[in-house]
Parts: sequence; structure tokens; C-alpha cells
Amino acid sequence: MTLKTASPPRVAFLIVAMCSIAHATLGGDLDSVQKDRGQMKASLYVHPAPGYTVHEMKTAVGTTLREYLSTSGHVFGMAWEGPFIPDMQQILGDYLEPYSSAAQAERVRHLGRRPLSVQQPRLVTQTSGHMLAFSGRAHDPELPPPGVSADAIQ
Amino acid sequence: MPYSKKRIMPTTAIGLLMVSLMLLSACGGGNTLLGTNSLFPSTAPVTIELTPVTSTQDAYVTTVTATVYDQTNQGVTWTIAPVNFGTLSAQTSMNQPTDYQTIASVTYTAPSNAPVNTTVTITATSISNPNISASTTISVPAITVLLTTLSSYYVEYFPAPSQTLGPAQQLSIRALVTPEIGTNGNVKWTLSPSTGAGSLTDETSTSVTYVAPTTVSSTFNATLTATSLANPGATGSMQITVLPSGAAPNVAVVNVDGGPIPNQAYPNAAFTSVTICNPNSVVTVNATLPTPCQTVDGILVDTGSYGLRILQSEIPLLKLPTLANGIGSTLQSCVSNVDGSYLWGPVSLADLYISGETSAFASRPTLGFPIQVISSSDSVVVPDSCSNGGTSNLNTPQLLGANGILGIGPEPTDCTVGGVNYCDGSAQDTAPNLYYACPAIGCLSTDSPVVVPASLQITNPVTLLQTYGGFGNDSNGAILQFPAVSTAASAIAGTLTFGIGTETNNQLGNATIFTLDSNDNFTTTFDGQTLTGGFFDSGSNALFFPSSMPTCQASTQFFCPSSPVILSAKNQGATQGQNTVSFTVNNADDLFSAYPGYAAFANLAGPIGTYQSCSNGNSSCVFDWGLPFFYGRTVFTHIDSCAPPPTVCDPLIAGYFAY
Repeated sequence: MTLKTASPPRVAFLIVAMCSIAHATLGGDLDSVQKDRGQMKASLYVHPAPGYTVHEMKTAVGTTLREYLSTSGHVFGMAWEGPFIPDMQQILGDYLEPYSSAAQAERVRHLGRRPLSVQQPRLVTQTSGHMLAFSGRAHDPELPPPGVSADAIQ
Repeated sequence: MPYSKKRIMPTTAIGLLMVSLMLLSACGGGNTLLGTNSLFPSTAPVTIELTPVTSTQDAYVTTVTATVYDQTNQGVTWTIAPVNFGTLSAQTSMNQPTDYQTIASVTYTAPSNAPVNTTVTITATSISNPNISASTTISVPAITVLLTTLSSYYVEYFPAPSQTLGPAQQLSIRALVTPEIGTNGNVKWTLSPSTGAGSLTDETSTSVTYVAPTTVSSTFNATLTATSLANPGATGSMQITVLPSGAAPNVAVVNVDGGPIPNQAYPNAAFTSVTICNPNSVVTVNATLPTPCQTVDGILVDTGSYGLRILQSEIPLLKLPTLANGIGSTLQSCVSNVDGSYLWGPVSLADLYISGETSAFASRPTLGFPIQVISSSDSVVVPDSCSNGGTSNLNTPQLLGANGILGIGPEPTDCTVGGVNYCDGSAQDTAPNLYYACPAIGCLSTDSPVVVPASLQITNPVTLLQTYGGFGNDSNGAILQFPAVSTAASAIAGTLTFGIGTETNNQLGNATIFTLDSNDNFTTTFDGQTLTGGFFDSGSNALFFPSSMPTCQASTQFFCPSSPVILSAKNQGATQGQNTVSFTVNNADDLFSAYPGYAAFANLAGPIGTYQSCSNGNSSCVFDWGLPFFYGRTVFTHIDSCAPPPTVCDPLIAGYFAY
């Protein structure tokens, strides 16, 4: 049997990830978008839209992630699709804890395998799909710029 | 061996005596000539050596030999611990007075009906000095009763798989008792339940024929048990499932029955039973002892995933081999579920038996195939990139709602989609969070995933299935069939049939094939939305789609319309297949309160995403056709066997769904 270690080792950039938590990606600024791009070893395309820009990156494992950046420079939402769920710690930052707690609470409420919707005043997430074809969205309802609907995040 | 002979006088100083004793011990049991008896003080030490020192081989008859050095030539007495556990023959001994050496032998015969594996200690104690003794240990295996089917084939195999029969069908079964000594092989046969579950004929002390009832109104299970006459504590049993119709070796029964957790009904989940064995499990009855196997029920049948995953706690008798790399790290498997929960545990090699099908005759039968054994320990360290923000490690039956998962979706391994393998290094250099190589002390939370070749990835077990004996290849897919459910049912039974178009009972017939895109999805058009992420998932416990319907107050992951709503959606395959499906959505809170403890809910549905938010058709638009879609239908899941793209592939050998 041969097992090849993926390169580069994750150890090095985990340290960076820990430093970046202060820059929560959701709710973060352009720097955090760049940081996501670096940590996911992703390629980046920028699409302008009225009142915001979409920074689309494709991660090294093939998942497409779109981060929605207001003209004032804040990430107000994100959407993804692809074979693997993106690094939730990286993309949710400070929102990871409420997301994780809500996910666990939903499991406790009803046994079963199914998609997950989290609907909270400061966090909305929707994750769905099946093994190797996942998709999802996350946003903070207080963050979209005036005149921009959360439905734009897709 | 030459050495000096010394004559030692009675008046010799004690120091000289010590020297002679050292010489004696150096000489062991050799033929020493050290003078006459009268020259030694009667208190000279006695030595005893036993062979074998220990016997770790399972054995029922063992000869133990003592070599005794004793100037009084009185020999030894023999004892057994535990007392009376087996018998000792009369001692045969050969005494050589001239050198004070006695060779004494006894034959130990172990009980052939030991209730548990037992270690026996045989002790030889000097008669002249009872403080001197020597012991040897012998391991005695417990009596076991195993059942095997007498098939039309000329070879009997272990283990006997669970059997599925139709009305009036017969099955001949033989009991093999180990050890088979004297009349030890005799058993008594019993059938449970004792009435209405068929009958037993042609009963002998080692075999019997089971006859199913002539009239079968609904699927039921009967358990046939053979009880050892030598030790009524030793039994072997086999579950026989009787179907009203359609029984065949490639048909397993699937129950929507709330699952294996008492008082915690799992709605809309289909469960079956599997037998898992150590690899290389196929042996004839006359060969060595069969490898260990365990039958586990409560296995969730899931067309939305790939591979067999079983909780470690449910297979305590098995020690399945794991995979190690050159530096001794163990390959671990990770599943990140869509709801933030995850599964973690070693890739392990096993043989699978389900209905009359097994993986054991596939092309690598002696190796087993890779399954995931979900680690039961709460203290195991799971890498952060596997748990991925989730806090639910589904490592108990209560958390998983099942004892394992049988992933039978349209791909051959758990890292393949649309013909692309994302874990073997062929699609990209970076490994996704599915496999990790952890040293014996376990992973670190910072460990990164590794690249793994397809042959070591968790494998869709259907791809290895053949009928028992290796006679029919049913490895290209599987069919789920359930009766229709009107609103709710406390439980229903369906069937899981292996193979598509490989037997008379698994033909496509006039079912419509829906081909799949590169994400293994088709397109569902619903309520003005083009949802490009459509899929059939028996492991999702409702229908899930974006809708403007209100979600529930209590069951927030489900819809709660004020009254039942009749809807329709159109499914369209990537290149072929089109059909409109009509379905009803009921108020989930009302359903759960009106039918407490029920297992099957035909009209349960819930939200994905936001209505009209994905009308541009991007792939985040999902319609998840969960188990309610399967009620009243026959759904085919065909496994992709195309070469990797860009090869053009015949749609009939690619992954597809059909109904």
C-alpha cells in the first residue's frame, strides 16, 4: 500500500487560520477574502454587481466558493457548490460557534439524515446535497447593503 | 556431552554440595551418574520440568510430561485447575533409580462442551516434597454450534447467510459442532415463533429441513436454532425471512420500522441486516474453523452515499484488519455530512454477506474490501478538517439512529463522482478531507488528509456482490421497492434486490432511465424553479426542496402547510429520461403528533434554500427526493462503470437512476 501525504502539510497553515479568526470571513473585509483565497489555494475571479462584488474562487479540491463583498468592504454572504463542503471554520469565522450549536440542536430535535437550515437573527445557513455534490449558503441578515436582497447570494 | 564425574563424600563441606548442585542444574535432564542414593542427604532439592511449558494451540487432548529429579524416586501427583475441568489419564512413568530421574506422563482430555474459552492449568507436585511443583497451561476452546445450508451446490460454505424464502419453499440446514467428538455433534432443533412460522421436517441430530408456510400474507422472520445436546448453553441460529412473493437469493428485506433505537423512532429510514466477516471467510465445512462473523441489523440503506460503514460497538467479536502505510500509520476514513455531523474511523477489510449475496467471491476474495468501522471512543482525536466545524460525532447507535450505513449510490467508491476520483491524486494534487493516515497514538487535530488509491477507498459493496458460491454477478446496481403508504404507517417492509438486468427478477422492464450529470444529479423543475441538483436519496428522511410553504414551529426542518398541499415536479435526466411526479405535503408537526412512534410518513417534506433564489439554475438548486419518493415505486440505482472522462460512455453502463 502506498499513501501519499497531501502537500503542503496542513500544520503550517492551521497556524495562519488561528490568527485569522479575528478577521471572521463572514463579516470580514477584503483582506479576509484574500486570506480565504490563500488558505484554500484557490483561484479567484471578481464579478461586479450593483452595490457589491462577487469574489468567486475555486478551491484546490474543486469546490466553488462565492463571497459577496459590499462596496463598504464587508463580506455579507457566501455560497458554495462542489464535491466537498468548504472549510467552515475558515469561511464562518466567528459565526462557526452559533452554526455548530444550531446544527447539533437540530440533530437532537429530530433523528434523521437531511439538509440543514439554520435561521437565526444574525446567521442564516442552508446546506444540502449528497456525498460528493454539496451546496450551501450562509449570510448575516444584518449585513447586506441597502437595496441588496439576501437572495442575491447564490 | 562429556563432563567430569565426581564422587562426593557425606562429610563434604556444604560448599562442595552447592557446587555439585550447580553442576546438576547445568546438566538438566541428561543422564547423569552422580553416585549412589545413600551418599545424598534425604533433604536434597527436587526439580520438576514440564513439557509443553504452555500450549496456546486449541487442543482437546494434550500429553503432559514431567521430568522429575528426586533422590527418593517418589515421582509426582497431578492436579487440574479449574478442578474437574477435563480429565487426566493414569500416569505412565519411567523410573531410573540410578540417576534419581523419573519421566512421568499423563494425557489431559479437555471437556468437549466447555461453555466458554478456558485456560486450564495442569500441575505436577513432588510426592517427597509437596512444596515443589511445576505447571503448564492449556487453552480449551468453548463448544460452538454453527449452521450451514445444504444448497444444490456440492460444497457447503460458512457462514450460512441469512435466508430469504417464498411460500412453501424449503431449506436444508446442517449443524456443525466444534469440537465434534463422539456424540458431541448432536443438536436439538427449534423454530421461533413456534406456530405460524412454518415447520421442520426430516429432522436428525445434525440436520433439518425448514418448510415455509404455504400461505404468507406479509413478510415475517423465523429463527431456526440448533442447541447442543452436550451443552445446552451452546446454540447456533439462523434468521429466515419469508416473503409473500418475490423471494430469491438476490433479494434482501428492507424495513421502514423506526430503526434499532428503542423509543426513538427514526421516521422514513429503511433498514436491513448484514453479516460482516473477517476477510477470507469462505471455507468448506470440512476445512479449518470458520472465520469470525457477526450479523448486524439496523443498517440504513442509503442511495445518497457509497460504502459500508458500521459502528465498532456493533461488531465486538471481529478484529478486522486495517491498512497501514510504510511507517505504520493506519488509514482512517472521514465522512462530513451535510448537516454538520461527521463519521470517523479506520478503513477496515471485511467480507460482506447480505441476502444470498456476498462480496467474498469477488476478484480479491482473500483480502476483503474496504469498509469504515466507526470508532466508538469519545476520546479519539478527529482532525479539524474532518469535523469541519461540526460537533456531532455520530459514533453511537443513538446518535447515528442506526447501527451502520449501507451506501449503495451510483458510484463505485466514496470519492468518485461523474467518473472523477478526487482522492487518488488524478483530479488534483490536494487531498480532500476523506482519508487520513494516523500513527498508533492517533491523529492530531491538525493532521491533513492523504491521497489514497481507488482500491483502498471505501467501496460501494454492491460492486462486489455475487450470489452465494460465486455463480451470478449482481454487482452493477440495486433496486429498492416499497409498498405505497397512505399518509402514515407504523412500519412497512420492502425489498432490496441486487443487480440490474442480471437475473429474471431484476429487469428494467418499462422503467424510465434518468441519466446523471457530472455531479450525479438530474434536473427537477418545480414551481417555476429549475433545480439542477435533483437526486433520489433513500437516506434522506423526507422530500426537500425550495418552496414558499411555511416551515414548522416545532419541527423547523420540515414544512407545515395549514392543510395538505398537492404538488408536482418534473424530473429530467441529463441526456435522457423525463417524468412528472405528483406528491402531497402534510403539516409535519400535525403528522408527528397524530402518529407518535410511526415509521413511514408519505407526505413529509422540508425546505432547502430559499424559494426563487436559485432561478438562474446554478447547481446549488437542489431537489432531494428522500425516502417518501420510494414508497409505492421500484427505483433502480445503477453504478457508474465507465472509464474516467473524457471517454464517451454508453449511458447504460454509466451511473443512472430509473423508475
